[in-house]
Amino acid sequence: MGIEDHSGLIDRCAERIACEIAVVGSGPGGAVTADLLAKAGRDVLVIEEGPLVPASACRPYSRDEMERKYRNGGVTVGLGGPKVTYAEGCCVGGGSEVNAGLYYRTPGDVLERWSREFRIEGITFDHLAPHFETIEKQLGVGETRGEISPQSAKLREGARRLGFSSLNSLTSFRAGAEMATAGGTADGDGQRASMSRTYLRWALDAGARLLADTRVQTLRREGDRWRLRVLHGSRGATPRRVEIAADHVFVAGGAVQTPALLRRSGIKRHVGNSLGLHATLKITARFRDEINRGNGGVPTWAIDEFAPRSYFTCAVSSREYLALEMLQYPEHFDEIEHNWRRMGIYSARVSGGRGYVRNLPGFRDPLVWFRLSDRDLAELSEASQQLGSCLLAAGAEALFPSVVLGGPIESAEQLSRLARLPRRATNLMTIHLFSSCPMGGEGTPCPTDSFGAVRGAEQLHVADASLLCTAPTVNPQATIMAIARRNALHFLGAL
Amino acid sequence: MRRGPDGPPRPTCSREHGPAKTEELALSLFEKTVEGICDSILQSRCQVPPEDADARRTEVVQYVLAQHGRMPDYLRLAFRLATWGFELAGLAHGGRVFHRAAHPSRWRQIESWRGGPVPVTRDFIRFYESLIVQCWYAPNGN
Repeated sequence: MGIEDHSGLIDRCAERIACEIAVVGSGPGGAVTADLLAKAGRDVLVIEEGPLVPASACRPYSRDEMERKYRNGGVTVGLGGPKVTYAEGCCVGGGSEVNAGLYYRTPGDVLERWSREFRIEGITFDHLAPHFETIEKQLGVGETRGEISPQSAKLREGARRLGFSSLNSLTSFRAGAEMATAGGTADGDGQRASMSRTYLRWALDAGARLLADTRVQTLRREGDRWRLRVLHGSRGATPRRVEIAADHVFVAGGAVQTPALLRRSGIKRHVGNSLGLHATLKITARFRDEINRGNGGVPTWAIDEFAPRSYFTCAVSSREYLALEMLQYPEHFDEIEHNWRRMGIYSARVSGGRGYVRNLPGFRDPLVWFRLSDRDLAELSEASQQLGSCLLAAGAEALFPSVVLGGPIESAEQLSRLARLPRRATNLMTIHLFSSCPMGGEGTPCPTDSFGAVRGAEQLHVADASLLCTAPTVNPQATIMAIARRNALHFLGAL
Repeated sequence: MRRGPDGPPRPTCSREHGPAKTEELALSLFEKTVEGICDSILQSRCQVPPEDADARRTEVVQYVLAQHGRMPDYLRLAFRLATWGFELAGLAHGGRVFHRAAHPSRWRQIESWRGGPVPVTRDFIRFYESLIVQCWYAPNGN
């Protein structure tokens, strides 16, 4: 199933490579784009900064995976207030190789807003429905099979007792015997239908080439072609300069790397000025009974009662993740030794805030700055209290939110301590970043047009989360893929 | 001047290459400080079984140094400077640089930075604690 031995992989690249279409980035946006273009008979080269790591090479959510598949070993932080730690995939297949494979169509009201406020053509729910249907069929999206995990069951129980609407998330995990080699990570048995197993593989089958371990430094327009200055070489080796010539370029490096590359290339107008993210506050709950199987998976139950303002979900709760959360509570830290099987991590997620991406002179990595407004913080505070009440209703003995509070919450009355989240003492995280190069119709202050073409630059397109106009409010992967598909078909004149 | 394996001159310890020597010393000091931080946090936070204490300690120190090396480069520089600052702050706390101090004195310094009024000192300790416990509690070394 993997692509490690595929003939489309470039082992040794020449100093100069020419192609018709260069796709920079192999995550969900880049992979869907490459697949469609290659199947249309175009000469496609996919360029990925990270390495090719076979899907079964490391345990999901392990330290090893973090070191090999994440950018900066997973150690990245957005400055601003409150601080937000974030994680980006950096390997062949991008974020799809490390995420939970949860699948949500973009809510209709979000698309309605994009159509109205950003004057985007053809982006209503009905316009995107055929793209979602195709992707769901191709990935085998569905509900996880069998019993939900005990951690999920607690969230469901809390929701039931408080009368909150909740659901079992759809996933793109494939059930079957392959599970044994990959390790299960969702509630049911299954294997992550990541890009390296699906769209990238199909793109290579259709004739595309893939160049891994290759960082694009800059894009430069020369005549009617793009010249890409790249550094090629695996981690730890001395990189080699390579020049790639392409007629068209699709940049799909993600919401941080895409604006950074465009800005390094002198394309700066409105680029990287409107970064958005789903700000997530975690609450660790200790129950009376055992809920933690220690398998490192992402339980799939979610509460959507307060959507689109907030969502409550389960999070990875293996011992190392629990230990990280409990660092806020030094007096209770030894609970990791004795009680970890009774503990699980849950998260409250809101959309809001705004940030930017900038390159710093003399440094390689871009700076991410982000700030939640007082209103956003109040919304997060309300969401964390609602999640807390739900967990207490499900029988939690103690709650340990990722805020410096002085002690755990043990009763509904104590939830009022979350009423005002201190900006400097609140620790947020996210894995959903977007909107740094949003699409927009004529007359909008957006760097890309209604179909992802970069304004003021010929034959240059964006094809990733950067394009989303605002927060999708749900897990963004399906939205990214559907929009990439729509825009690639438009490029081919086949929409 | 000695020559490296590929031919170009390699810095030596001679007086004419003072900056290279200084850089080497600074790097070594940084590693010693990180080792000291790891030792103190492991001793106070994690239950280290005596039979494999050395191996686990080495694993944690190597992981923390490797993760420091993977950080975004502007943060890496900032953390290196802060780590040197932390090392020297030991002089004010116990009369010795941090890595040469005894555990109780080191731990007092860590606690004082963790609870300090300046966010940057709290973030500094949190960064190291996060990496150390993450490595420590990861099953079977990964």
